[in-house]
Amino acid sequence: MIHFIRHRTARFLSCLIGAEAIIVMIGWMFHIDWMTRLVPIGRPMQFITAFLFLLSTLGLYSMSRVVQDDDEMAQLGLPGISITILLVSVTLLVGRVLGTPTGIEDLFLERSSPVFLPFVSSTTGWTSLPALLNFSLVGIVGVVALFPGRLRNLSLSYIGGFIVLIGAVATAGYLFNQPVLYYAFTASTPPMSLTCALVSILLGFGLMQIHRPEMPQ
Amino acid sequence: MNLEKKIAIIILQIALIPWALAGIIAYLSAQEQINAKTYTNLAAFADLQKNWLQDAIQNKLDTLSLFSNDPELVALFHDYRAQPTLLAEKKVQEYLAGELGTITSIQKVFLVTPTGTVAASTDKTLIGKNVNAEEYFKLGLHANDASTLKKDAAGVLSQYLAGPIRVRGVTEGVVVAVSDAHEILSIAKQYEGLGNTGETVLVKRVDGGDALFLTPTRFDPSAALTRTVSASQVNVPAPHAVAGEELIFTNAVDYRGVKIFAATRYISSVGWGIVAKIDQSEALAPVRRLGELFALIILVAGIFVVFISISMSRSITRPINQLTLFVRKVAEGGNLQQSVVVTSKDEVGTLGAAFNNMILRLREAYTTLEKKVAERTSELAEKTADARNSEAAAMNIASDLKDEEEKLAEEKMKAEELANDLIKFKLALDNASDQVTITDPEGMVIYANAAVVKIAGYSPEEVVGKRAGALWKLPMSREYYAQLWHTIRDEKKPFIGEIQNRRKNGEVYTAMFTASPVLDENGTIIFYVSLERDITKEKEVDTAKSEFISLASHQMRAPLTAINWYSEMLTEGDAGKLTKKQQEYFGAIHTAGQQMNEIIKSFLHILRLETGTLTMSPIPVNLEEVIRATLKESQLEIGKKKLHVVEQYQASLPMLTVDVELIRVILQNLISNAVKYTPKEGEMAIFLKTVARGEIVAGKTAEQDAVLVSVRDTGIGIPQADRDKIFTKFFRSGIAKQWDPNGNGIGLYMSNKMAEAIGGAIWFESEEGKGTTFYVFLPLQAAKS
Amino acid sequence: MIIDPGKKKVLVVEDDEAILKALHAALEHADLAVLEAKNGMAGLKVASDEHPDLILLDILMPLMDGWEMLEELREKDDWGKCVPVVILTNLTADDDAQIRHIAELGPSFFMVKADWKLEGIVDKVLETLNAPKVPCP
Repeated sequence: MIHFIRHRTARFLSCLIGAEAIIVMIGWMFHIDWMTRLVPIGRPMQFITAFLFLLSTLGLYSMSRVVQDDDEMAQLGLPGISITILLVSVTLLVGRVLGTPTGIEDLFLERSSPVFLPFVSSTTGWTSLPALLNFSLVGIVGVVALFPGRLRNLSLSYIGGFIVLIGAVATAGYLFNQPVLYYAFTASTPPMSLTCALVSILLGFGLMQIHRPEMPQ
Repeated sequence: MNLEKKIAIIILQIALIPWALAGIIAYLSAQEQINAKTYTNLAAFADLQKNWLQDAIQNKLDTLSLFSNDPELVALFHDYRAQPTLLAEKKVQEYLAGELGTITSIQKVFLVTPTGTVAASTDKTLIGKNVNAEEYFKLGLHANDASTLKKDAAGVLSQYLAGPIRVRGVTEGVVVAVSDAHEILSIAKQYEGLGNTGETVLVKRVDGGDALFLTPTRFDPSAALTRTVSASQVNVPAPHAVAGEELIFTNAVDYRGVKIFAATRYISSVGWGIVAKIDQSEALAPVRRLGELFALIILVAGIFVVFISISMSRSITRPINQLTLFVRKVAEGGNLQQSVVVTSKDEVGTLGAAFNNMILRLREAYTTLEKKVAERTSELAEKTADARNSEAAAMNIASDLKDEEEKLAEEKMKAEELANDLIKFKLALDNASDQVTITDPEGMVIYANAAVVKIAGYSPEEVVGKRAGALWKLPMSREYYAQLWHTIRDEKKPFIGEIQNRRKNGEVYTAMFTASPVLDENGTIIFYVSLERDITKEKEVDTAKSEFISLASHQMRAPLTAINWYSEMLTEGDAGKLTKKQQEYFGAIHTAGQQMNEIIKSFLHILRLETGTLTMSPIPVNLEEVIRATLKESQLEIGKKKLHVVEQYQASLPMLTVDVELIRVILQNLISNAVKYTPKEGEMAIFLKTVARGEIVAGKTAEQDAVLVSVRDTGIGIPQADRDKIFTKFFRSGIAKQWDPNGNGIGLYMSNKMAEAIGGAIWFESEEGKGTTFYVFLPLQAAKS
Repeated sequence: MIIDPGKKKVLVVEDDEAILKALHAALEHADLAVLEAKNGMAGLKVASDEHPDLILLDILMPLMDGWEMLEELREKDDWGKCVPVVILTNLTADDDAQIRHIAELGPSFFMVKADWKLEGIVDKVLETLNAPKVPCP
């Protein structure tokens, strides 16, 4: 029974995160500034960050389905979602760490070209490194979640906790005005926006709810 | 969703997503590169234009200075200015005309006083005109200027070059030379390298920051000096050019309103702006083509990947599906004769092989069990004639009971009569010594007679209402009960067998058990009747008897051995030389002793057959050799009787897997019979050949592939009346006894039983007085008993 | 009992007088030294005292039957494990108990008295005595 509640909580959270991500993306597409911020302090959340949150929340929902209901459809869709998240976030992360541009940053840029991508964003905003790390972890968890066992529970709990921690530290940074805490280390490393920090807390918490101790067979 | 689709979908996702992402990124970066190239091109072109124009302008200014620095002209003009006589004017005029002739690019020259009046000109119409409002005059007063372009009445452009005439630092006037604008125009009309829609536009700043076109454009030949671009249009490069901004525009619009890429340059000396532009649609055409190419590649790759993932998943799941299908077939149909073909070498193959193995074992176990049950059943069937009778009576009674109940409503009197009858019957049943139980179609006991106390130890009340057998804690095997229910419920036939049950006090007893279904006129089962007779005592007696016979037979052999050996020693002469008569008599004793040994051996054999303790060890046996060895044993007799023996053996006869002793007994029996019952100079023939399953020999059909042995003799034959009994224990036909009084009558009985034990058969054809032929089927694969 | 050291020794363990006598005569006739015992216990004693080259052993005997004696003999010492033994009985080797004994205790032959002539038994004894020595575990 308690697992039922926790999974429902996780799914509810995933809907919240999804709504937030879509709002931010719409804000960028139609140049509505307050929608890109949601929380009116600090940087707006980047388009790519919102996109990654959207994918992650789909992953969260699918994982909840897979772990609780062994839903076949979710099991089939989860690998695809996880792969996409992993590809995008890991490429960005590695590109940033090594200093090479990867082309993904410009994926959604507005440009005067007959490109088929309809989304537009007017600036090349860069996602903060810890956020990229979080998304990579979500991608990994998505793959591990397909295999029942202790590893699945452990990853869900610990990775979820880690993500919450990252988000909480950033939030504290904003609360107490300590830029170091929200990862604004140098001028060239983009800090995590407050919106991103808060939504990360939700995402991590959602992951922690999904874990389920295996019934003895 | 089945396994195949699942695997296919996952493979598809794993393959396609990275592919698509990589494709998109590659496309975007290629596009980026193409764009950058366009921009660079435009900037370079604009720079080139700027250089050319600057050179051209410089050229023109140099031409101007031919005039403004000409000392003679300056002196003449100075003279005129000092004294503006007609003569001085004429001299200046003439000089000008003369100079003009030498320079082809200049159309006319005139000199203007500082106040703006044209003092002298090669164009007579200008003389005396005031041009102090003209731009070129204002600029020319201060410095050499070439920035003014004018259109004449025919619309042809000319460039006005003006510069001050200075004498000792004092500006005496302005010399204006009007040049054609060919150079400027030809530079501005350079479209080469800018494709079909590219061009360079030359503009000049006018009031308000607007840009005036100086030269005709590619798309508006009349634009020169007529068309302007307003500075309020932010997205148009021209105003920016005249404002002095040298930029690259990645998303601009031109004077036609078409989207363009542009690069601007500014020539500060004349205040002109240059815009090198190209339509976006043309510049981006390669990008579009690239996009289409990428889309096509991704589509083709996508289709390819779909096919691969489907075929891969199919190859993975096909063996699994086959195995599943097969397993289901076996499970549902119960057909154990099949085996699955396994081709893969992985775990699925292992599973298939293991399954085949399991089926094989099941089959073996099943056939063994069937045989055992069949044997037991048939043996016991011989002993249960009584049981069946009483059961039939009970069944009749039971069905009568049903009929009686139905008629009760109609005929109350009859019912009472019948009730009395019922009581009598029930009394009879209650007092029967056999235990009778009636159960409903589900197996729930609805009646048990009084004998249930005696046999099972429970009172009828304890048993009624419970499931049959629930109380006895079912000591038999599951297969036994399964077989029981299968016979009475599914086949709706009576089941007869020995059963072991447990009494209330825990004691296990053996009973003769029959259960029969009772059907109504539609063939539906209305209830079951079962009978049990406690045969524990009989079984014990049976066992005791067998043990006794075994022991007795063994005990009897001891003195028999003594008889044999002593008579042997005597005949050998170990106790002294014997007379002929003595030898003869002792020989008779020895022979009798051996005969007794044979009899005892047969007793033991029969005993073993009856109690089923015969152990057999099948090995591959060469029948020919066994027959020849057996013939040798009877060699003496055959020689004495002068019998003609014919042997006809099929070439390459297969080896028979069978117990050697068993075969030997059968063959010995048949051959010795043939020898014994054939008169002197008779004939004996032995045939050996293989028969296939289904073949018919002498009226009998072979049930499996077998070897046929036939032994034919020209002996006394078997009379018609004795045919049925010839295989029974201890039977000898009358003529056989007459022929040879010695004989125990067990030989054929044993041979028959042994042949049956390995799944074969013995039968014969005979005519009294003519001869007999015995046939034996020996299956190639002997079934184990 | 005085034994000629040149002859091979055979121990006959049999409770029936008549049979014992017949066997004794036949074996002596074949130039063998013959020792007698009437039951299993006596048989064990004579075997360990005299160490015969072969033992002819009956099964059904009072006090200790043939199988028991053979079992004790085999477990007693190395000699006992290896001495050739021919079982001579009127029982048949057709039930599990007999077969198990034969397998475990390893007699060289199992012969049913009633099936054999004396001559045949003597031949078998000679054959076993003259057979090449098989190494015994």
